[in-house]
Amino acid sequence: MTIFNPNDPTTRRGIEKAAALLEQSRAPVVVVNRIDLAGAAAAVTLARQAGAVLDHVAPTGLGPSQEQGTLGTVPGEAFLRADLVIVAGPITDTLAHDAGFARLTAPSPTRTVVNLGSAETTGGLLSSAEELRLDGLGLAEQLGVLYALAQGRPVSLDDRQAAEATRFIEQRMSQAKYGVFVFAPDAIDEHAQFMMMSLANVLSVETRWSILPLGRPAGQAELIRMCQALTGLPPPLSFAGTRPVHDPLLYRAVDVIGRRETDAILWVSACEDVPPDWIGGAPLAAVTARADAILAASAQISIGKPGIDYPALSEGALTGVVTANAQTSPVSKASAAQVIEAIGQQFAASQNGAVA
Amino acid sequence: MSLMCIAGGRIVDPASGRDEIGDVWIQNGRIVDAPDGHPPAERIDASGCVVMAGAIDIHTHVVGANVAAARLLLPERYSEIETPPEHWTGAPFDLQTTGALYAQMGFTMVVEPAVAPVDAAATHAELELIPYVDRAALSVVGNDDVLLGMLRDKASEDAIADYVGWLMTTSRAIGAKTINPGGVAALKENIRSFELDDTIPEYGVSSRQISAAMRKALTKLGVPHPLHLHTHNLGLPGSVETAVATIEAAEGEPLHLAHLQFYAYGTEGGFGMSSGAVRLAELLSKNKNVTADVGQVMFGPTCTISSDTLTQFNARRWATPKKWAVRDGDANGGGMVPFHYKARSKIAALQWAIGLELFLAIDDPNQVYMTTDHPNGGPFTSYPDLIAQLMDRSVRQAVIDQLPKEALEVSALGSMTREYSLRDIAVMTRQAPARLLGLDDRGHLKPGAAADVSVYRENPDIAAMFRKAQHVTKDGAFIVRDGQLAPPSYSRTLSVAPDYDKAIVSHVGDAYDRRWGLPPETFNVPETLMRNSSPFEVVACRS
Ligand SMILES: [Zn+2]
Repeated sequence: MTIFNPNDPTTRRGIEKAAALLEQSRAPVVVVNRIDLAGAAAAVTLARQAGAVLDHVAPTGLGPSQEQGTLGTVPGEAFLRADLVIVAGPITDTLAHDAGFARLTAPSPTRTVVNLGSAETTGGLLSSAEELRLDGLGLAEQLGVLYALAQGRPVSLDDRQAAEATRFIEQRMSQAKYGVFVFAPDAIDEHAQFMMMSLANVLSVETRWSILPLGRPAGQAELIRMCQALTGLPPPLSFAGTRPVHDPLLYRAVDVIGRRETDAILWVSACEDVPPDWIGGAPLAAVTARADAILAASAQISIGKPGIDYPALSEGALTGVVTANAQTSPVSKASAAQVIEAIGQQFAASQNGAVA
Repeated sequence: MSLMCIAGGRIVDPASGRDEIGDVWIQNGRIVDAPDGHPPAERIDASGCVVMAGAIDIHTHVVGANVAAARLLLPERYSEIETPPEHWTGAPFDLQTTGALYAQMGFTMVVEPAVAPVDAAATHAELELIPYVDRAALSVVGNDDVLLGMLRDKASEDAIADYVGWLMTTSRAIGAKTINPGGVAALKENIRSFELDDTIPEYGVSSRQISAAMRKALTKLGVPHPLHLHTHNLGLPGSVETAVATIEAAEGEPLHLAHLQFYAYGTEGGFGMSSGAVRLAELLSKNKNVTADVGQVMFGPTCTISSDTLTQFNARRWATPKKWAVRDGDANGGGMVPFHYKARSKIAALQWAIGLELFLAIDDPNQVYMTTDHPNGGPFTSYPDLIAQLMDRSVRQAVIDQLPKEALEVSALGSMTREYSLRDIAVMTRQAPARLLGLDDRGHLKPGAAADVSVYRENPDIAAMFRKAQHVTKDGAFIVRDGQLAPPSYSRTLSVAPDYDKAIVSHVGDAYDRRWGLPPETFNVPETLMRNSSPFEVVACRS
């Protein structure tokens, strides 16, 4: 059982301050990072209650998948089946530390791993990987060249590079039985993602290609799932009107805060991360594992880490799905949901008080 | 809870043989006998109303990873919905709206028919957020490596039953569904069409073998709900042959066919597609072991959501608008393809006609179930219109008059005169679904039943009558009263817990270790992690 005492003086003070901050705000923003499913649901409910903008910190990466077809796969299937894995773009820290990525790119007699795009960021992490690099071109352009060649269209490259790219398409990608593009969604731009999907789609006319984002920022999947379940819509969205409105251009937290369109920020992150540097410029309430370390926050409430300090439903790197995670620490701490719900109750109570 | 009487309504309760003006008595959440001389604490005047048990939807895609993916694909569609359901645009409703819309139509239970066992925890976390109604889920089995590996290795029927029992228990399912058995696995090996006796190269196992193994496993486990089968060749002209072969392959064993309308297509006529509905209806009348839900097409935009990745992969070129998502899964995965059934399209018109033909040609309303395969054929909110089309010939004639003539030329619908009675509706939407799920205390109004009661004000406009119930009780408490929705309340998720030999878990463990390096417990659905306390209730298996 999770230990949560909302009447503990420090906790109480934090909850009251956070609720007051939201209540006094005319345009609050709730930003969520690293959270479990129950915490995500609570954040959606609180954001709705407060009429806030709700978002997570990661770029959504939704644009390309909302504009065309997407062929996807899951870590388990890619691990068992993929004979050619193309790591598209840089291997970020998160990606490098992703258990599914490590497993999929480990040396294997049945699988070739190729890094496409940016050799310098490989940093020796993929010692066994081959590389394909078309000089002078960005990732999206390199994918675009391959896409054109896969359709038999000409490209204007020097002969050596054109030959190399053609050989790669004809002898490697088209011959793969189960090809998978792996990428960190927050590390490559939407144009590159779009081209990657297009390439997977055109290759899949004859064989099987899929895309597989790995090393996703934790909490994104949980928030998207619960936000949609409760509102029908993914983040970012605004609860300012009578109905929630989803608009990735208007309501991205980074932009709303950057445009100074907020007078209160609630930052929820079930880890010790300090918030990204764009969080600021308005009074801040922090709900995190070490809230006291966030000095800029006028309200600080500490919570545990999901799957460590309290049992939680959260996305697993190896499965790509939300599963149950037992508590591993001998000491229980408050869950994100408990604290967020307590803020919501305090918010409702003071609103009722104001009416009465 | 105090004694309540729903008084003076027309009670339509086929299970008790009642079709009469009378009373329904409720106490402590249950239907009770009329007490001698006891006045009720509360008397609800139901004169001028029809009183039935709460309706049950046995096949409606309302939660899960695929529904979530459809929402992600079409957020702009959702934003267009001002007042659902009148402005259904194809994006799935949120869960609050889902429960509210069902309750208002007099439904008290919904079954999500395609839960990926690996996603069970998240799916149940969503399912329990649907207010007002009871919920249940079918687990998808049949394209998973464990089952296919066991069939390849000639595992015993007992061992297969143990695995299916374990999977259903850990994923908290009320039944098991098999979706394009073998075809989905074969797509991962780049096979683009799959027939009953084709084999998956990796396993050497056929669709026929998979379905047979699943039927036997469920019978052995005593799971009341028969195998819920989404067979192959969905939506293709000529699929009637697949449906016929699938029914014959059941060899007299219990089988439920999902969305039969999508398999009732012949190849005759001017545009290469014709109705096979009458043929299938005749076959069903000779095969009482088989039940089917229809998957009725209703005109308008929608998003098809299916774990039949093979079908959705091939259907991606029909996407309207031009975007879609198809994802291989650890077993079935999913395909989300938006689509628009236009009344001026010959094919969509014929699909609509074929669905109605099935309803009208299958004589026994215990064998046919009202579904639109929400949202695949259309939204569940179109049920009232569908009921009106079934009960009133002139209502469907008015639709026929709007449709391309060529479509009706290859359908028998125009000559069908049958009109459903209220009793037929009550059997099809109450009694039969409860029996099919093994719920002895639901689907009827006999003493002892759960007090799930729908009261509809009689209205010559049948669709209007069934769109907004006057009163609905769930376990004796009003969820709709005087046409108004009560504040959200949360009922239970029903599932079976069959007996199985726990030794099977180590076999599963080996396969899961190969796939993920994780133990089988990874995919448990702990009750303690659900939001509501005691959200689950176990339905008894047959001994
Ligand atoms: Zn379905």
